[in-house]
Amino acid sequence: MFATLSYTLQNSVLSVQASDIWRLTEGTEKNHKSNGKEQEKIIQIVQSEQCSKIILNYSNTSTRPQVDTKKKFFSKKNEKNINPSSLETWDSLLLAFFAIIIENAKSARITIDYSQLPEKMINLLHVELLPSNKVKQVENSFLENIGESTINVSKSSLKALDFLGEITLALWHFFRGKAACSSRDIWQEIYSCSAASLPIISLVSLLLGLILAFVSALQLKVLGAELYVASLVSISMVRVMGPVLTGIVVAGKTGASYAATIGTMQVNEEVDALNTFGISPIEFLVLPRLIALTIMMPFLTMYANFMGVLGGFLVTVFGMGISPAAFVENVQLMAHIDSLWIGLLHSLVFGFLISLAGCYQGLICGRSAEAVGKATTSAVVNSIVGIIVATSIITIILSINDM
Amino acid sequence: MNMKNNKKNVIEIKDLTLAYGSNIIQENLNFTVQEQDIFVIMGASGCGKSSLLRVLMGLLAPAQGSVSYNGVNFWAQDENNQKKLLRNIGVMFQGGALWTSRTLAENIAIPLEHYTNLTPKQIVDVSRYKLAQVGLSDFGDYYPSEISGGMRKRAGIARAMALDPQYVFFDEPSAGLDPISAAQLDELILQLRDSLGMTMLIVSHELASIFSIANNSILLDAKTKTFIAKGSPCDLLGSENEEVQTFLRRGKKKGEGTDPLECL
Ligand SMILES: Nc1ncnc2c1ncn2[C@@H]1O[C@H](COP(=O)(O)OP(=O)(O)O)[C@@H](O)[C@H]1O
Ligand SMILES: [Mg+2]
Repeated sequence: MFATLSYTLQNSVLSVQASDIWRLTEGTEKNHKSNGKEQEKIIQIVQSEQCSKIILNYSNTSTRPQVDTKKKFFSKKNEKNINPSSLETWDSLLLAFFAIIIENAKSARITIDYSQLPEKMINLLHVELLPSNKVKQVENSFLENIGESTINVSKSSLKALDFLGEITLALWHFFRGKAACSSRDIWQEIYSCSAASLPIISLVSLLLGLILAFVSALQLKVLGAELYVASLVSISMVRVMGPVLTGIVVAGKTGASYAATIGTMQVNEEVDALNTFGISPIEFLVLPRLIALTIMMPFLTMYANFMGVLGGFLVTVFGMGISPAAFVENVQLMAHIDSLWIGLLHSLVFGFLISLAGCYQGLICGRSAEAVGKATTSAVVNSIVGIIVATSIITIILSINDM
Repeated sequence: MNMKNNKKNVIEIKDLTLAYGSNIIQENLNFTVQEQDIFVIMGASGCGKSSLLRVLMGLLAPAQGSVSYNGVNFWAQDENNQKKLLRNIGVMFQGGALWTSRTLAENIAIPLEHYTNLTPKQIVDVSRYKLAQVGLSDFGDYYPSEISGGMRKRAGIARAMALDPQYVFFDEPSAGLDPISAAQLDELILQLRDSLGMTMLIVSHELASIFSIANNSILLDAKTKTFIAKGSPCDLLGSENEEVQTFLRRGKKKGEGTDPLECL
């Protein structure tokens, strides 16, 4: 028999009778529900002070199934039997219930008779269940939330500016050779940021070159200018598609890992440890990543450019029957070396932005696993938004200058 | 070993070898834990106490040997049966290991929601009671990142107890607690054992606490890679082994300096 609960109220004495097996992990939903209802009624009586004395009572007449042999232990029929026999026939389920009655009785100044309870149980009944008046700050209302986030926008942009200032200072230190960041760290970061993204960059930019070639071929064929596929793919790849594509891949791989790594260090108090030693986390953690990624982005971009142009080359030569020499000639004729420099300028800016966003999100990360996840997502989102905004700004400036 | 009672052996460790890859941490471990024991695992840090617990709680497969609960060899079971066995085990991890995206009350409620048929109201009641047991009734709505390390530890204990399991494993429960909380914790462990009949396995260095609550223990050694003593703490104190004496007397030889332990 599982957990039954009953009560009698006579001459303003409330007698609560719990019996049989009160264990959290045993018992059916129905059973728990009916006990819950009785429990509410009892609490109601106590709270409305319909009694002046409560007698708590527990008895168990049913025996628990014993665990006998190993064979029986796991058979479906005996699944309940897993619950071991050395435990009592009651646990916190009953204790919590009694404790709540006691708590309510105390505030109503009702005396409690424990004498019917097993001695073992009494010790665990005296806990302070009632929270003192120290209550956690309640959730804000909708309007308050709007107000708060408006204020937070200006606060967080101030914080970001602060961060930029610190970065500038740290870079100044670095170029004077005084920063707490060793060339070993930088090499380490250079290695990891380039190795990590190379395979994806190869695949994606090769495919992008192919796609660009196929799509532009469709249109240029109409004009009988298939040859120009070569220069179209090369120029668009080198000037913007290569850098943007590389930027997005690197934001997802490297930027995210910066945020996750530094965020986890924040959670583990590693950043605090740096601060207490007077080592600037910006110089120690951010600078190596910033420098490494800003240096490596142009190289990664050049690699992406190469793969993209290769894709275009494959389509024009093998798909459209244009000779390799014609391809090269067309590119030489149409493309200007400036496109390459412009592309690389993009990539420098992107490298800086991605590492900035990743490190910044890591450093302002909260102290929980969830916060690390959020920091990582924000880093990627910020980087991609940054990449697109920077591209448009550069494009506008260049077009004003007729380049 | 304790021969004066006729309690059942509930955990049996036979010829157990712990290793990470080819790096052997401990070998030839043999000991039994009886029902309602408070069994303490001692040893210098790094000797493999946490690793031993990880084997006992099904997180690390042993390189050799067996772990049996109630005569059932844990590591010989399939995954399903292992899970069923694990339901009887509550664990307090060394760092607390609370789920940081949940409040303390939710941390305790989650196992209850998973493993019991209780109504939501009953789950709230039970988790409130569990928090009150460790003195955290005020902090049910707090997130783990908003409380101190010692409080996190206590919340971890409350969560280990969530399902009132038969076996409770504590990894250094009192490390990082103030003396009063540590003593209260000892008291709580004793009470839970006496009242509910749990069996406790505790990794601990707190000699005061070991001598006041443990009725059986084992001392692991990193150099010899096996246990160098087992028995009740008082038995260990009478041991002739020099290493054992040094450990129990905080690095001092027998008879040297003031004896920190009175044990009769
Ligand atoms: N995940 C792991 N991989 C490899 N070695 C480990 C791992 N965890 C612990 N160790 C090694 O096992 C030994 C014991 O560690 P641990 O059980 O944590 O010690 P204790 O808890 O007694 O301080 C240490 O030497 C440690 O280097
Ligand atoms: Mg440990």
